[in-house]
Amino acid sequence: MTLALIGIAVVLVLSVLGVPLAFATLFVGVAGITYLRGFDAAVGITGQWIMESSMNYGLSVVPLFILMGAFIHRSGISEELYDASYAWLGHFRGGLAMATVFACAGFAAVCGSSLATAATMGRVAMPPMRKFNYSDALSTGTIAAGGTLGIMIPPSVPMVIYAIIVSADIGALFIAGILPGLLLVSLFLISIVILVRFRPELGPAAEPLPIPERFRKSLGVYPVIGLFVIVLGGIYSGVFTPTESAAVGAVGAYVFAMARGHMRSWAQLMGVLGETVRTTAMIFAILFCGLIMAQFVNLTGLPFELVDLVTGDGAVISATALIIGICIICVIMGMIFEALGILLLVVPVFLPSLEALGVDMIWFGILIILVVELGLITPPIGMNVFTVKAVVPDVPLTRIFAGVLPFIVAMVLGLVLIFVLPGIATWLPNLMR
Amino acid sequence: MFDTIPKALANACLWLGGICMALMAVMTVTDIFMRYVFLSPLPGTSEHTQLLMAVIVFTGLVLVTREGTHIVVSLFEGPLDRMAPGLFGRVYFVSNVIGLAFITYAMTLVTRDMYEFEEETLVMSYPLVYIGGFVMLLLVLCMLQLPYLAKSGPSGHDVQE
Repeated sequence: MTLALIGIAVVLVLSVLGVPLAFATLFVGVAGITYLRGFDAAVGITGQWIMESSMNYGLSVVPLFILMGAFIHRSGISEELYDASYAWLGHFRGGLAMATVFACAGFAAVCGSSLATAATMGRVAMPPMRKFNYSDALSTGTIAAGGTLGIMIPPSVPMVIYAIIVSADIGALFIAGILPGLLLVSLFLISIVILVRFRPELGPAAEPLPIPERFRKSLGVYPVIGLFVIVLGGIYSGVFTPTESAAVGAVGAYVFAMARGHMRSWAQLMGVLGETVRTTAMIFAILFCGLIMAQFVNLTGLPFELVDLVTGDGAVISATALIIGICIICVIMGMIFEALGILLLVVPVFLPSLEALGVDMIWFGILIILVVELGLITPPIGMNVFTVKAVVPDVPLTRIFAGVLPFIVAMVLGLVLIFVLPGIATWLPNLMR
Repeated sequence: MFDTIPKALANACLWLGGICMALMAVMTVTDIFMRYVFLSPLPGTSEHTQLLMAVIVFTGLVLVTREGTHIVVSLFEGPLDRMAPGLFGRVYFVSNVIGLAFITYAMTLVTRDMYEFEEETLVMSYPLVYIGGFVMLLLVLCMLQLPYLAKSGPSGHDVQE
């Protein structure tokens, strides 16, 4: 156990010193395996894992969903999504902030990236909120928090990685993310309503639009809804595998972008394809090096020592305490690491214990994704907060962090609700079976 | 001047990876279409996807190495650079050198095994040594990008799209 904990601590130190996360886990994994089994075993495991991971058919869903998100990102749909939400909600107090949450949810449903959602919606939503004198804290906080919906509302890359680590059904995990995603949207909206109820100056109401105008402004979002329904409906109904669904989504998103006048030159197309190739490589580098680290942790016996602590006559930790403990560890790690690093370092350690306790791994997956999502807006790092800061550099970081506080409370409440009522995550996937 | 060839190779990787990415999406959609419309799926689609994946991942790695865009924890970059200027960038570079050298060595041994045991893919019976060899070649291209990384530091984005 001590060896594994030392290894994890060294990964932390190396990462902080500037070693890329992928190489930090590789170095510690290889050093640890060398110590336990010798250098030849370390080299063998490394080569084998890298080859197997880079040729894993299940993982092909990752680049395809990234491609779909990249096409959607460049199609300029974010303005339409925002306009449609604005048309229906803008005339309420705090309505523009609510519209931002809806637009973020819609964009996340076809984009899958939290950072892209925050960056894109920041550019689209910030000018109108400023025009109507919304407080900077509420505006930026809403965008940063709304962006986190990218990894909860499927498709989501961290969900795929989690599914691969625990050998869960990717499709079931995607479907499981729908209701928790909607729950979070609702909680964010309630937070905004409460905020502007007590402090109306934070989000004044805009001019209402005539009803026909609202319907006209909503026309642009139908293709996005259509794409979402095809992608998730295909998985849900069993017509497509997740990889096929992602490919259909990517081609559909390309056609959609073409129809809107984008992606008509080789340069634009290669821009998107190149971006996808780069992102895929970054993710896979972390993935296969993280898996080598996981092998080392397994060899130390830590995961199985933990099983002894939670099962049998000598059990000293209950399932509830274990899961709460894991969530706390993830929240702390979320202050330093990004989503994939947390998943790859934490989940393999606790997987045998969770399985021994009979924990539903789909439900736990949603829980852990939500915790990771929380890490995107909690200080000191909060990647989404920094993304929003880059879009609106004149707003101080402290004000953005103050703005996300109510949403952090909402997310913690969502976490508690999913913890207490697992059906929120498991009901839809159970219907699939 | 010394960077002309590595830069051209990185550009070639960008194109190759991009084309493989597009091919993977189109091939999968075609397979679905053939399966549902003509009841005749394309042979070996999943295997071709796997092979394309390997090419996409390692061509991407060439670009990520050159541009210094590996995911890092940059929380302490500022304080570290104030204490020891350039330390963060140097640590980043050295870890790239060691990491890539080790991965290349490991992949060389895997490829040697593929050759010795004449390993093939299950459906199409493609010799795996070709894909192993190609991955090794791409890893060598990653190493060729290191002098540029040393000069430009992390996030020195320059490959044309």
